[in-house]
Amino acid sequence: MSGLNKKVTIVNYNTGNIYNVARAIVCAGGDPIITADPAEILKADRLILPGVGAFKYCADQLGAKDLISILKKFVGTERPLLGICVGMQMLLEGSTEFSYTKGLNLIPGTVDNIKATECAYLKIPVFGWYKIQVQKSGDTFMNLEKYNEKYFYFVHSYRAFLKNKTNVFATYHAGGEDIPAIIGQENVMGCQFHPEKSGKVGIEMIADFLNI
Amino acid sequence: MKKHDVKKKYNLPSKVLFCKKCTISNQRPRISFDEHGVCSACIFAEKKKKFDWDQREKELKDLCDKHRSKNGEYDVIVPLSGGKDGNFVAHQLKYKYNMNPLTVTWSPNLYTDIGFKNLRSLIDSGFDNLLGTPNGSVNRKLASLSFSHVGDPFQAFIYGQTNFPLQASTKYNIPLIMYGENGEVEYGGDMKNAFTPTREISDHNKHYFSSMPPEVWTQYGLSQSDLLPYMPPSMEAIKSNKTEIHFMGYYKFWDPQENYYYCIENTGFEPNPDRTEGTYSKYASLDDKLDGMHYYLAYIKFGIGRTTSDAAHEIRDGKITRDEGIALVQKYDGEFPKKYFQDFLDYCLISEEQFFRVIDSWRSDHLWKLEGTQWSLKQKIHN
Amino acid sequence: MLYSKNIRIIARLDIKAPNLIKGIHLEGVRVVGDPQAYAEQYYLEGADELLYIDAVASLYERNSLVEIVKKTASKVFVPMTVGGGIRSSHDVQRLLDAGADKIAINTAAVKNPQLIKELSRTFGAQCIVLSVDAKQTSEKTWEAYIDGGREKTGVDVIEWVKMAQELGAGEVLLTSVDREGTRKGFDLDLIKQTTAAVDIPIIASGGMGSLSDFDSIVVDGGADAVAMAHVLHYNQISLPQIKEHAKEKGINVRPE
Repeated sequence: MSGLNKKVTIVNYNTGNIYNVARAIVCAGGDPIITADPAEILKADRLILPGVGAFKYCADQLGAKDLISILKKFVGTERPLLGICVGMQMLLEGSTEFSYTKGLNLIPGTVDNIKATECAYLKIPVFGWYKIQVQKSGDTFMNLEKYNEKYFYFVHSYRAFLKNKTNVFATYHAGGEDIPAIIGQENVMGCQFHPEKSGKVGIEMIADFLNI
Repeated sequence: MKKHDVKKKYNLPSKVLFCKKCTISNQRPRISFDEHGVCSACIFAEKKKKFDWDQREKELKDLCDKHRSKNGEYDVIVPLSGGKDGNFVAHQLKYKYNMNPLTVTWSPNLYTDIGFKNLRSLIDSGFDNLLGTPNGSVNRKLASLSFSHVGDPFQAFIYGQTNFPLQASTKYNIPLIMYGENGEVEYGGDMKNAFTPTREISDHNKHYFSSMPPEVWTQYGLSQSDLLPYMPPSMEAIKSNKTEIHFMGYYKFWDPQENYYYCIENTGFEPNPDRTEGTYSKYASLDDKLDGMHYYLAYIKFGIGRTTSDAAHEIRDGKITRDEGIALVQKYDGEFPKKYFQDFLDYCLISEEQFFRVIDSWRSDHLWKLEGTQWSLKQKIHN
Repeated sequence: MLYSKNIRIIARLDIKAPNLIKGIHLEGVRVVGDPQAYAEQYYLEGADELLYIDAVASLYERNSLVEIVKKTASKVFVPMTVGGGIRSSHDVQRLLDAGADKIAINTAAVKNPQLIKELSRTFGAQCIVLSVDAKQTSEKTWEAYIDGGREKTGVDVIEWVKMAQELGAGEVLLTSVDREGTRKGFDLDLIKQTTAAVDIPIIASGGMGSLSDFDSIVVDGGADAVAMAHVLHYNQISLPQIKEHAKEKGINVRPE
């Protein structure tokens, strides 16, 4: 794959937490590059797509910066892409938040409201620490087994609904539902939680990403 | 109403200067500034850091050993109000230095709920207390007269607060009186006792009574017996009893804010629920509804409000910086004590109109200017 | 356990820049030490979140936390909430850029409740925490205080929290002025009444003194998160101890 360097490019498209991600990368021993420049993004060794707030806003921002086709092109190079939070949600076909908004369509599935079957006990947005259950499914470019039953920090109101179970790498349990926590396909992976806010185990996961 | 010559009466300099290190100005009576523009209280505060506090504590232990009773009688008087400073002294003397204190309180003019509660908490935490409450109608008259003539309704209270412990000392044969801090020394007044643990009773007149001892009020229709509770015992009685006034602030590094923490933990002390008017804190001088007026009058007379004094002390104690002190002064100093204003007017039986006439009669031209209908200080502190 | 709600344990650091301080009843600025050192220690010991409150911001009308937040963000990788003297979107943006995840707002919100709506719309409800300093006024009522616990407002706490939820606050930091710094236990009634009145999560703050205070405020009070300061700063209880205790009591917390 990308060899010994620990460079990670973070797509800067005017949404939230890029500096937090960058700091976490530094802590994990990496070398973050923050950019919105398509050429820079295309030649990244590894790419992170962050995202907070509304899906539509994030998708519109990506569009405004002409990054949608660039990201798809990047994925075609087989180098690793990691989506975080709304960045993960955008890997899917689209979202029904407000009206239907198209995503990157890299993994089959959609984004919709979190509906708890034990509604009274689940406050939306879901936020806090939840432990993930790693599924034995599909190829991943990272060994995820060691993260089974580990706690990560989540904050979201919408969730992924995947068409294929094999794209669900890990779930977490809230409100009677198993909500996708990590999804992926080939060289694309996404985590609903914030590894940069999940303490030591989050840093460890980022460090693993740096080794790909 | 005739204006008082404040400058002459208090011997104030014409030009207003602010200390380079704290927020106090040279208008505080008896303060001095050195050639660098630093006030005597700040200079003292620096020196204070270098005192041999172990040695001082040893002196305290020796003093206690000398006075400690052998038969369960009281051996020290601790004048207090139930506030953090007196409570600290009483608690330390009893529990750390094995003394048997009699706490002595001169009743505030008008008790606040929190003030009385704190005194009660102190008593309940394990102390005997002697509470002196003067004739209510005499006290009101005195408060009203002293407001009109001396520009401070608190004068009556100050007589009692100063002299009642002396009376208790001679009546109960307890020579040792232990106060908290020496206000003159800690706040930049007469520094003569900066390096001694005591004060002379003969200085009371000048330092605390604005040179108007209780007797002067007989000319306003108060009788000798009316004034009896405010009077000190005779000098003979004081001498034969060997009464001595000491300050805990000499023996222990005095930090009022630390006293707050100590008293919360040891004497059930509670701060004011909200900010004390005229200043920024919640833990100082909470027990008298007329208190705010006393500080307000100091603001009128000297341009020095409560915030200025409190901030100056906390700057010297290292709690806040001078810039922070200045910000606090600009925000709160001279705040009108409206919470108990009506109580004050009712207590002193004066009208609002009379009140403001008295206030304005204490505004010295060298400090105040009138802009339209608004009074403002000619010189204000700034960074 | 009836449900799998995870209780967050939050280390609270009151700041008078550049120091970590600890007062009692929101009064006093006794210095504890270097905030970064304490923050890092709490992170490593397993704090689920950190809470930085500038204790004197409203008093001096300044915001001094940006530098402290920046430095902390390079070492601490759990959510950080920052409050004290926040008055505008600009203040919020600066703190988020410095590394904060959520901001807590009190004085400015009481003076202008619409500010909550404005900030919630711009930054998202999950980013906006309403900070309430509550003082008991009668058996069943509490009044909100502002300016660092100095000024009363006449605002009823329960009504205020309900209004803030409507306006878009994502969470409430509820501090009992009566209990804070005393280690005499939380104000159980205050927390209980508030958790019953709103749906958004409540962080209980003020009064933690013993391990049993923790479970009573969670189990009886219904708190979603528990903030503590004195017991941590003065090494009376450690974070691992609380987590161990929570586990024994069957309360879900993030282990480690």
